[in-house]
Amino acid sequence: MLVGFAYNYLEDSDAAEDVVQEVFSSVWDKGSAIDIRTNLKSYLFGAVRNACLNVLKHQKVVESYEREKLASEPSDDGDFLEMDELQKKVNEALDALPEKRRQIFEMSRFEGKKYHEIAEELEISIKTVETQMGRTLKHLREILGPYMTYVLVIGILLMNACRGKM
Amino acid sequence: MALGKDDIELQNILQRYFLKELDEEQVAEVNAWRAESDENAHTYDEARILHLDIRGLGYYERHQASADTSWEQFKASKNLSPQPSRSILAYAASITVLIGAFIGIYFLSGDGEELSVLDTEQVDELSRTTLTDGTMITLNEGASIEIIDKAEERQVALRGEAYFEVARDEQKAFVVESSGAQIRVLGTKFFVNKPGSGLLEVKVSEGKVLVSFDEVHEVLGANETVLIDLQQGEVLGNQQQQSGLSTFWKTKRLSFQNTPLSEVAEILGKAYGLSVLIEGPQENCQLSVEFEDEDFANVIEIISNTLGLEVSSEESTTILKGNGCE
Repeated sequence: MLVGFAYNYLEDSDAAEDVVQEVFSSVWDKGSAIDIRTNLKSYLFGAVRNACLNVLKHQKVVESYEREKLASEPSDDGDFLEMDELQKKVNEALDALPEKRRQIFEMSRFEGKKYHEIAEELEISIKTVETQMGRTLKHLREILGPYMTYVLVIGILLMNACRGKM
Repeated sequence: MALGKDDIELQNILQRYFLKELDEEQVAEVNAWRAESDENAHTYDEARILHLDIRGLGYYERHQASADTSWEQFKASKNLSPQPSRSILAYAASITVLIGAFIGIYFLSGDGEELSVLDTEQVDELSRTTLTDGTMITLNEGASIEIIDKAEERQVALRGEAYFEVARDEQKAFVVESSGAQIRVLGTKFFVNKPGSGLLEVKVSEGKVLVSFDEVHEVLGANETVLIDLQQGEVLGNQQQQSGLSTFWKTKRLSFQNTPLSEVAEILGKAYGLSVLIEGPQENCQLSVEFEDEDFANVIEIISNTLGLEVSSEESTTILKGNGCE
């Protein structure tokens, strides 16, 4: 189940398995030092998400010593979000949306529908779906911005480092 | 496409980029835009994380119910009674025990311990079983597996059809027994199909497998298929797999080359997790077509228009009715 979740981020089943194993062993190493704010499941999913985002960042890194250096970085302090907390943030952001826009977003999010399918079902134009989705995404990005910036900073720094070397 | 001009438009294009809904030219444009500046790269990364999180959350929410059950089952199987304590510390301690046991299971397979089922989840008609060695088995409707572990091998008996993603373990081969045939692997991905009564088909998508039936042994590589006639005891050839079914979940691409309609129906059914039946005569009904990123309804429409078939559907079954082809 956690592997399936990780697959959503990495699209590679070997990497997904590796990440889940790593999360388990790192949680194990910390033992009772882990600080669970919601519940274990939410914590583990959050930790796997975090580890996946780290992997995605590392994929941009060519130099192996940098990878090692990063792998040892603590991954769950500061702005680390447990999954229930992330869910809450997203849901709060969605609650602020007008009903129709929220509906469009959820059709895309939960039902995996494509824009043209949503347009057909709601009898609106694809253009409208696009605009509404664009607004929703912009809104979400603004609300969720702070935590994403944290995730991103290292990524950007590394990318610049790589660009210099390649 | 005016990238970077309008934030709403930009979010949209990026989202569709991640959903793989853009055509080649647009994809190239996004890639070029992204390489233009750090700011663009940053915006791209933010949008990508948002996209992944939305998808991840979707998965998390869909699995919340099943997750609860399997945690409960797991706790029960380890005789861990739930801790009603309000104290966070006590809670954390019980969690540590739980995780400890979990990791134990995770690495057991390497120590020659018994193979068992770790988790089973239902995805529509398919059920996805994860074994303690990390192997994932997607069972088609009505299929079942039984673990007949021997210390030196990871052996399972299969009834019905399944897709195997075998976790690599050089020390312990993974052996699938199905209808008297044996499929032996170290770590790979393959289908076991039953395309007709008395027939068994093995399709390999990654790695190598050894298929043994009676005294016949056949080694299959990636994209190879073998068909076994169980009654005649014959191993019928080793054909290249063309349709791309095994990689469909990833590529969303299927391709047919003079493929008989019955086979097309079977492949579509598997690809979309629905069942497609052919009724009426279907002599000479062959199809040469490529689909990419099409939804099921479109695919059916294209096929029925091409071959002049009548379409009807009952629940998750789509029926194509025809009068043979010229």
